[in-house]
Amino acid sequence: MTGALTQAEQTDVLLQGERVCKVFGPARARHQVLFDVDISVPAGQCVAIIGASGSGKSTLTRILLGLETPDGGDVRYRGASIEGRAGAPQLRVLRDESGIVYQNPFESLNPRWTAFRSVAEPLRLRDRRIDDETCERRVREALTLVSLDPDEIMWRYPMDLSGGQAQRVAIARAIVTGPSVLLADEAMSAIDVAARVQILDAFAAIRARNPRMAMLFVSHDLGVVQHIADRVLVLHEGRVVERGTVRQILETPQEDYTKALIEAATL
Amino acid sequence: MPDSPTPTPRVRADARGVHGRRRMRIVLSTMWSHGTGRFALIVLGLWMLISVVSLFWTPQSLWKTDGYHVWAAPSRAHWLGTDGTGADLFSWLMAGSRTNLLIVLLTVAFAAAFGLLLVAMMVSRHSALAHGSVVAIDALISIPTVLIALMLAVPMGASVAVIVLACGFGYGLNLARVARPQALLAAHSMYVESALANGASAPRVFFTHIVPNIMPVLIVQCSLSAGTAVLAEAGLTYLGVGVPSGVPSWGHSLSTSVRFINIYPLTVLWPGLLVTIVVVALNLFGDALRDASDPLINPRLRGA
Repeated sequence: MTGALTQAEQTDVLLQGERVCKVFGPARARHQVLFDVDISVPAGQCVAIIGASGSGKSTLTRILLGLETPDGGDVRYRGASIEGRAGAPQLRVLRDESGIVYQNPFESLNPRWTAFRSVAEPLRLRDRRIDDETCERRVREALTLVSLDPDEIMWRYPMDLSGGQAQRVAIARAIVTGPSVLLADEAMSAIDVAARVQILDAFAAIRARNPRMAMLFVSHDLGVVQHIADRVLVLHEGRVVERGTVRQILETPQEDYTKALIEAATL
Repeated sequence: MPDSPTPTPRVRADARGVHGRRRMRIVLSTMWSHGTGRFALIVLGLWMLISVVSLFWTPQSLWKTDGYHVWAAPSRAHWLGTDGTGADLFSWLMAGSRTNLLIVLLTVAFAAAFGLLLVAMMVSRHSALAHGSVVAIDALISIPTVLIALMLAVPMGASVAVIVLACGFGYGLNLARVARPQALLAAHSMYVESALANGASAPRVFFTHIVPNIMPVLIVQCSLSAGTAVLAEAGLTYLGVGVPSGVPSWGHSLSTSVRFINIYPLTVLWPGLLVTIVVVALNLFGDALRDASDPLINPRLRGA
């Protein structure tokens, strides 16, 4: 497999998974979804994880952010392992410094909360004594960064937002604390084509504002991946079949599976 | 998923979240604007007013009996007639309203607290606790409320506490069973996962994310419980394990007169009518409150 990190990138790795394995199901019906996956996410880079449905993309990212426990291997954040019981010190550091954007914004925002309350929640959870003014200022900044008008959006409920607006509110919630790692788990899949450009622009603005932020971008849409990612990792049935820069993967794919994915995307 | 144009009415610039008194005003005025809600508010308002007034004043003394005028028909002196002791039926029903109000409030409070505790256990992330509580509730729910009341009456005797404990226990189980699916949906949602990933504690997630999302079910279930508590008070008092003799309640008025329904039907009709109207009002109140207080149903709460 080509596409190894340069020396500079290796020293700058923020989040790293080493020989990550995951098994689901009871002992009699074991179903292994990840096989010895290695992944490194350097600061300031966007790593896209691509593959068909069921290839283990989401499971891998959930393990990398400590939302699931691997059955083998190790996950390291800033050089220290996050493994151990929930509440392990490094896991807490990772959670404090990461944000997640889910696939469907209408399922990831509390339907009975205003956009303001949803975006403010991470701020209030991290700092119980944050005053209302600071909170509102930071929520406004986050909403403005994703090209939403705070005055128009803040007091609306999710049901009064369009899909693109709701997803940008969800993105604002993920970045309001200024995370070092941002995970976007199929963040475009539930959004119609017209609104995808707005979401891509929002991600571009966030990265421009915070150039050191690492990003994990899970997708099966190669068209989107080529616009946003620096590096790509191709997963097939729980195994990494290819990895490299976006250009390497999209222009000179080595593996048949990757070629098939690219062909499917250009249909 | 529609994307453009924005499918909603514009939100007023001053709609900075609808909280506190303003929220209460909107909920009440929404309820008042619907016929059923208005009926429920009027009936329940009168019930509370009469309960308070009865503490200070009734047309006749409760303890003034008259052996010469038992089972009397309605007259100027006795607006609804008299009971088997010659006491004024209207005064007893007035005084009974406060006992019934107390029973309903305590029963609903107990059922809601107990039910929420059970819901919290059933949606817990500890699978043994979650599964164990589901099985336990399924087993306990099969015990009739009347049987629980009869068992409690053995050590406690006939008392308001027996009704509150027995009904609160039974209705709490029902509430938990009915609210569980909605609570599970919220507990396994992405917004709860996001809150947990951001460091929210389980109690915080329960009270800020899960409870608001099961509130419509809770409101309806509590109003049904309130109505059923009024009926249960009448039934348990008739069985002799409810409100003790000498304490005014609607069930007490019913149980003393029901044997003579063929001869003096009016003495059964008045408390029966009262119970029916209040139970209907409580049920309608629940539906109206749910529709008025849920921001997903009431656009005024969303500032539209």
